[in-house]
Amino acid sequence: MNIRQNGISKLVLTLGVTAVIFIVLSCGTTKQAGNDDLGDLGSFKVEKSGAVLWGENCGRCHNAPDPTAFSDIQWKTLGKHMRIRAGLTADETDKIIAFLQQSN
Amino acid sequence: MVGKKYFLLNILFVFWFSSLWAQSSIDSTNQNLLEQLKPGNTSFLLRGYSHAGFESVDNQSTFTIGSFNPILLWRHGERFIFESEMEIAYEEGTLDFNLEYADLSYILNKYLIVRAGHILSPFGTFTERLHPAWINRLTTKPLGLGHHEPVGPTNEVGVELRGGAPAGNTKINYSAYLSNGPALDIESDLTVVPVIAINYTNYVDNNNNKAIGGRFGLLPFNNSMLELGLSGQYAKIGDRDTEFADVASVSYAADLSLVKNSITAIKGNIDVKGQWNWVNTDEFRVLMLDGDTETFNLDKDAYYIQLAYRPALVQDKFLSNIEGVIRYSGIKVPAEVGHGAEGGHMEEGLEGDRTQWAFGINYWLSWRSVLKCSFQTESNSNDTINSFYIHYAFGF
Repeated sequence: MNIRQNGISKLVLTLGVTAVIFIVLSCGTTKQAGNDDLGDLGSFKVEKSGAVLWGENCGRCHNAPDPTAFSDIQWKTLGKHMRIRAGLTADETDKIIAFLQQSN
Repeated sequence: MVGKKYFLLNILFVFWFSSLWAQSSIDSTNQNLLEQLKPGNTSFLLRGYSHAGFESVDNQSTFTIGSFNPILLWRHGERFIFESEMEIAYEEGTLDFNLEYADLSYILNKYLIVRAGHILSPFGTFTERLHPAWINRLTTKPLGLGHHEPVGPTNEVGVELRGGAPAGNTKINYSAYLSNGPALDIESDLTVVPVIAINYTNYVDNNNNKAIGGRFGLLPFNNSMLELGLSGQYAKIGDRDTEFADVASVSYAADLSLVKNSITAIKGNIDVKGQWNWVNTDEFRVLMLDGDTETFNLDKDAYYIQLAYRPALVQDKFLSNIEGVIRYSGIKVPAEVGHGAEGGHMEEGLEGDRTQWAFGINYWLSWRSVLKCSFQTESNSNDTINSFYIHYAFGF
């Protein structure tokens, strides 16, 4: 088996394992019982605030930034830059930008 | 006479009206230009980071300029953004000026962004997200994940689709790209041991095959504390119209990030990072100086695991700004070939299979400003090198 066949086999296997893990975790994940977790509350869902998302997402790589460090316009540019870099979702990016703009 | 007066008045009126219309038209054009330049539509931003300090590697000490990395961001409207990073650093005895990345992104919709240009490879997370000096918790990079002797792709020149999306109680992020891919560099006529390396900065493609690759990241908990990622790339790496044209490489990476802040039980924050890269290539034959041919491949792997703890919840302000870090990393490379390096600092003393322990104490002066002190010991089968670093890093 040459490296191409071997590589494709490994890629298929890797994608398959990833898909299984993803499906299992998507179906079976229980929410974390922390103060910062605002998941489903009964029959309605409370959405996380920009402040909570700012703490959870920025801190994955670096310290959460000081909102006063940049202006409204700059936060908008930085937010989109970080959405691209860190794979943030569109909704959480918008909320984080709004929080930083309100808090600076 | 009266007719002449009316005629002159008409002429004057026409001139007055035309001048008014022209003025209005110029004003309108200027207004449009001004609107285009307003920060609401266009935003230019200079950011970046820098670090400098003192190093003692194998009992040779020096102050070092580290590097200065300005990042240019230019956003136009809601969807278009240009980003670029340059690195100015002293490496290999010269002052280097490197382009780390320069790309254009267009936000297609809530779930997809198209990006083109010179990008950091979405191969694991260290190169793409964690390498900046004010983000990397230690002064040095893990073995195999820096400019020196990289294991796995570091840069791509191509086009990429990426994004992030919620998925039930979980969240995912994803990337897929086509690029020039890596290139196989062989210098077999210089020394008895041929210098063979994979060059990951392939600005002009060395063959017509395009690399395909990507990364899939899963955040299984809805507070985003854990991220697990898998990356892959397949590419033909040999030069076109040579005997190496069909030599291919397959690279994989698995990465882990676990970050939990404000844990009351331990009065602080925990940050765990890890990544494992593998590179496999086809075997290929190289003509040696003595006329014989020998078979080589470039199978190698590199890994690291890092734990950082900061007692952010303790009352004492000084203690709450201190962070302890420990990292273990290793690299396995083919023993029978020389290795082309892309630069590096003083830590490039050892070669071959080796492991490294690094211990650091950081003091955070602000959220983006840190004084880092670390001790590092690196060993291969023959030797051990101890190093000590004090660096100041700042993100701006």
